[in-house]
Amino acid sequence: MEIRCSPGAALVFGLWWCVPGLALSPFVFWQSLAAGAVFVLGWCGAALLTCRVRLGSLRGRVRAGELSVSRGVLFQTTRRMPTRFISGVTRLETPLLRRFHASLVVVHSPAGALLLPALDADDARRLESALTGGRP
Amino acid sequence: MTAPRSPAAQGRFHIVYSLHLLKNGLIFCLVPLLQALLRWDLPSLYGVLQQEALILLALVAVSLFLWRRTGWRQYPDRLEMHSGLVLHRARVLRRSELAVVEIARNPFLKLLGAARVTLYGCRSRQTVTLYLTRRDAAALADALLPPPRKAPLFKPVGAQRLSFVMVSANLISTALLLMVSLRQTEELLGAAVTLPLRDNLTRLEQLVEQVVPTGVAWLFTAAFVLWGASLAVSLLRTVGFSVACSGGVILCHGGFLLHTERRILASAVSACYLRVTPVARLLRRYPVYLTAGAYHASDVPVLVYKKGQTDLLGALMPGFVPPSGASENRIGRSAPVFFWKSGLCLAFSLAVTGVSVWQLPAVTGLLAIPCLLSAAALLVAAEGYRLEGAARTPGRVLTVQYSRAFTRHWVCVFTPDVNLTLFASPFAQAVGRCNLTVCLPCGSRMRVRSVNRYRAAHLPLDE
Repeated sequence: MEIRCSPGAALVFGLWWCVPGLALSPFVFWQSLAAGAVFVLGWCGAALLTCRVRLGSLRGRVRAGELSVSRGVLFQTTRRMPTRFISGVTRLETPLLRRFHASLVVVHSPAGALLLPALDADDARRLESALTGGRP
Repeated sequence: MTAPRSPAAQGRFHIVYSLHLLKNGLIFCLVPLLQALLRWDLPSLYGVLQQEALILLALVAVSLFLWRRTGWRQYPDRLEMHSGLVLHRARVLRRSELAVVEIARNPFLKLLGAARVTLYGCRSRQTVTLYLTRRDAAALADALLPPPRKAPLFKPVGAQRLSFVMVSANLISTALLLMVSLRQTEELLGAAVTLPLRDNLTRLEQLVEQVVPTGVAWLFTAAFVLWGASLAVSLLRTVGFSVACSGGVILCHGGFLLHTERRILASAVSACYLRVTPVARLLRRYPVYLTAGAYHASDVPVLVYKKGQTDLLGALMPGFVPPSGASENRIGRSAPVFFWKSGLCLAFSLAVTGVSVWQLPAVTGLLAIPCLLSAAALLVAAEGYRLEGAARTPGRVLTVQYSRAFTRHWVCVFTPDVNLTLFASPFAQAVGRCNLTVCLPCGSRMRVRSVNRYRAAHLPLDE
């Protein structure tokens, strides 16, 4: 089975990344209004764009007893996990993620955990079923 | 569920558990007392005694009450532990999930007839620590992992013992431990306590100054003292050390002040590490460490491997693959990835040494040392460039070879429960290369640089 990121979920994660910038912005607005506006726009724009590009490149696959997930455009990362040692799957849905029909999934194994931040809700359910005893 | 109703053995933790709970409170109570004693200020000592005796009594009462609520029950298939007063905590460890049992006894525990038992699981990074009586600890360990009946496989004596002590010595950890303990002692008891040590070090440095220049003399003295301390620690740790293996259990025990006994389930061994340290290179004997489940010991090796003599290691770990040559093709391999750190260090050291030749000739001798160290690091990096790689052997063992600082690591990974992470920068993608990180269940990570991307992506995960 193939999994990929949903564009709506990437937008939600971009919004999550905007929060630290908005929390820091009062310190910049304190200096000047223009600097604060540039900082907020720059931070939020960078967060939304990075999440859109980075998460848009996410491709996952469960095949031949292996979960393989790759992401990244310039700096590419691929993670490979044997499915028979996966000890659990956590699926998280916030109201905003539900609105965009998306889920956050964490795959646990003794050798480490894998965070899949912005999967389509249907893909997430199918992945959970495949990794916890269902059929891929 | 068919669990038996009555446990095979049960009991309460040793009373030293309550002292363990009291430990931090005791330090805060004893430090003002010691300070007053050292100043020999008797009126303030009396006041401190009255005030802190009350606090101590309250702490003792609470910890004794907590200790009375602790206990363990051993069933044929599992071990149950419970503790807590308001918040009850119960833990169950199935016997099938157990990888290693470690019994440690330091002088304080020996005096009280107690032992600290640490249980490491196969599939969980959490460990369980119990304080039991010596007899209970031995009985529990015997029930969980019965000891081997055969004679020891490895019991270093004579020259073998000497090489074992030398390859086990860890200069960096001893130096850090020494620095931290000195700083803590000075903070708690004042600088006067460590004054004799400083005086003796200065005298030793003055003696070394007769032979080498002033700046280098301190370096030599520090290196000599630290090396001596690490050898002494290693000597004490390896007193009576032996390794035995039979019935699927590996037993390693030894140590003088801190006596440690480890029982490792052979089928749970996830990896076997062989470290080629600078000392090991000189002696041509390499320390071997084991990893099993959550257990990852790096204090004392299980044995010492000599090139060409694989019978001992083969008897302990039948799947072990002896170190071999390069497993990776060097075409397209990135040289900067391997050489940038040591190369920069060497260039900087050479530049500073060059400047010192006409500006400060007195320190040129001292600056030659970082040049030599950087050159050595560059040679190890060159070896890494030639040898680093990961491959599955025909026996289906994953072998990983990588270099860090001055040490080359050869690892045989026996477990199929590993995670692989491939990272490729734009430059690496252009030549079909990537960095490969192998993660083990104990949390240990091994990063192999600039490997063939296609091979890494198709490296068989499962046996």
